[in-house]
Amino acid sequence: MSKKNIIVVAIMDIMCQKIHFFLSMIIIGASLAIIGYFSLFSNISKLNRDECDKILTKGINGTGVMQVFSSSNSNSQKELIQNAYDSGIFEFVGVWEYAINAFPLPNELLQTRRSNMGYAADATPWVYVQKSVFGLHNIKFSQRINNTDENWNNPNRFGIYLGANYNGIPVGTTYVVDRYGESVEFEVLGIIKKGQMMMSSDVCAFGRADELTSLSILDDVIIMVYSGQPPLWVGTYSNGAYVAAGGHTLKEARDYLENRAKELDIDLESGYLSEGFRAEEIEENDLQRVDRELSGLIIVTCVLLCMCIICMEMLGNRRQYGIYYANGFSLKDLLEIQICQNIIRVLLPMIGAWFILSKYLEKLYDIPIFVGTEGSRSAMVASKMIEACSTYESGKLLAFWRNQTALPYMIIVGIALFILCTVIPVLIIGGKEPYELLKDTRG
Amino acid sequence: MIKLENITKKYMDDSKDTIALDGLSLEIAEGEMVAVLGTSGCGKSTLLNILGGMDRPDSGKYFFDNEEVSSYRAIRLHNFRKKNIGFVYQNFSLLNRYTVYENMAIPLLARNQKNYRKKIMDCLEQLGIAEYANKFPQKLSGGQQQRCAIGRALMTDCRLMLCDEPTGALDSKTTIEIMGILCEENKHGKTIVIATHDSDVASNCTRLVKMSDGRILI
Ligand SMILES: Nc1ncnc2c1ncn2[C@@H]1O[C@H](COP(=O)(O)OP(=O)(O)OP(=O)(O)O)[C@@H](O)[C@H]1O
Ligand SMILES: [Mg+2]
Repeated sequence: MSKKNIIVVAIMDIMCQKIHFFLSMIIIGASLAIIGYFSLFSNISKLNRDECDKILTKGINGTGVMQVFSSSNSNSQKELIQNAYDSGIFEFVGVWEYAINAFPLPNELLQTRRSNMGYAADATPWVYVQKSVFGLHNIKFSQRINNTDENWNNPNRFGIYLGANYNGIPVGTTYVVDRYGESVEFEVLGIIKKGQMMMSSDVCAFGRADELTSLSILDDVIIMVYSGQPPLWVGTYSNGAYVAAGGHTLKEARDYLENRAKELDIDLESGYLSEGFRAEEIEENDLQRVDRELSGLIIVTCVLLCMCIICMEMLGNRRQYGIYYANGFSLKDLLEIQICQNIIRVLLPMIGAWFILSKYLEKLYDIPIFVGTEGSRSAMVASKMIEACSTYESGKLLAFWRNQTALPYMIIVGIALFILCTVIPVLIIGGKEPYELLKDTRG
Repeated sequence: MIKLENITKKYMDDSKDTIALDGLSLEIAEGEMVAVLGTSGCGKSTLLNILGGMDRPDSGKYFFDNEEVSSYRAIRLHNFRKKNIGFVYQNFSLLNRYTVYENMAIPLLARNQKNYRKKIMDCLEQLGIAEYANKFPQKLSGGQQQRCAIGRALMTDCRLMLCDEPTGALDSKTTIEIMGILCEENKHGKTIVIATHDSDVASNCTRLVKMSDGRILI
């Protein structure tokens, strides 16, 4: 029997039981949506932690975010951080401070900024970071000068990177500003590409999880880099985020920090960001277990529902198959008709379910309630992390769900269902003696 | 054309075994119209199913055109059935969800025939039910339904037509009409085997075979 005729018969079959078929498609589609949702739901906390970690560190090997708490006096703390810099084990990441008044602004830049943002814009344009942060975040530049380290021996010389909205200023422009009677030089080293983001310290600050600001767009920002001595105010905050880099592992970095703290008699608490999440997660283990088990139950129920519906449909058609058989269809033809119908019955609702689900998740995602309850701190942090991560590269995480997790997941579920639901009924039908099948045609 | 040698067929039930065919031997020549007559449960349907390749004998040999059909594997058996056999059943076995026309088209679809509209309409015309082509079987009388079922069997261009109580559900007037159609087909060269317990039906046939308890009597 030709493939075309198989399709003709399959469609003929569907057309003479449209309502029936349509209803089964709706039930299967709804089940698939529920399966998809709950399987995503049960995976979501894992996704948060792993994916955000990956995205925040850009997947660079040997990097990770670590936080340090210290309640000791700021002087020894300053020394500790100073030592940490000098050790070369640490790279400073993302903990940026606004330095509104610390340095005088070149007037021209101030004016450009005002015309960019309007006079009402009062947010600080100044960001001070250690230059290695660029290595971590792979910030992209539209123009850039490569600077050798010799340029940086002068403590009165700073490099600046300008946000994309300053792109009228050519790279290499140098500003000289008077500061306490000394002249300080600022050289434009590069223009940052539009839409680039940088993590702020807050994302790592567990203690202030509810006030996270996480990432900021760098379009209007002036980043000042300086690789010499850290500025005076470096020790004035106690939460820090660091990464180990340059061939050192996070553990080495942490060991160094803890040993040094002991030597300096500093009361230090340190931990990796992901560790923090894990610790929080353990607290919520019970809740999560219930979630997981409930999800599993719902998934299994829905799969069974789909299977039963398809089995029932097919068993209800047995008489029909007997008649087909007696009229020259082979068992293979019957199987192919089944497959053809089930493709429509399962894969079509699957695409629909996936579409609705992704729209729904997008909506849900704006109000990130799906990672946990209000009171759950790690859920808050995780949701903010996701927020941060997704804005980091225009909805990267959402795209990840949509394109790399949700769709294949739905496809796998759909295909599994489809195989289960085709094979089992066909075994029931095909496993019978043709004679038995014929009996059905008479009864 | 057909030669059955010592065919036996048993049905295993959990309570007891039923011997439906018990060492049955039979020859049928091309162009014959054979009536298989016997009481209910004597094995007529079982015999027809074996002849039509719907079922296999437990032992014995079945030759069709000197080829041993009983040794065929599934695919060859299916091809044999598709090429040679047309079935007509007592209760018409029409698909109620399909129109008369669509019912007629089923064997043609299975055989990958193209442009079959004319063929179907000609056949319906000949059987006198052309006006019902787009009606559903439930709206037809028993005789009309059986004509449709016969028409469907004819669509297969089979050489051997197997009719299992084709008139079982019909009154005597309609029975005569249906037998007339079958005789007509037989005159055109089709070999027909009819299972029945109606001796009037049997008297229309060119040959009579009596069965009892899975054996041939005469
Ligand atoms: N699938 C089956 N399982 C068990 N026994 C069966 C099966 N099919 C038929 N039989 C038995 O085999 C015997 C022959 O059945 P068959 O259907 O061939 O009779 P028949 O001559 O066609 O009867 P009828 O005139 O009532 O149609 C009967 O005793 C019946 O009970
Ligand atoms: Mg019978």
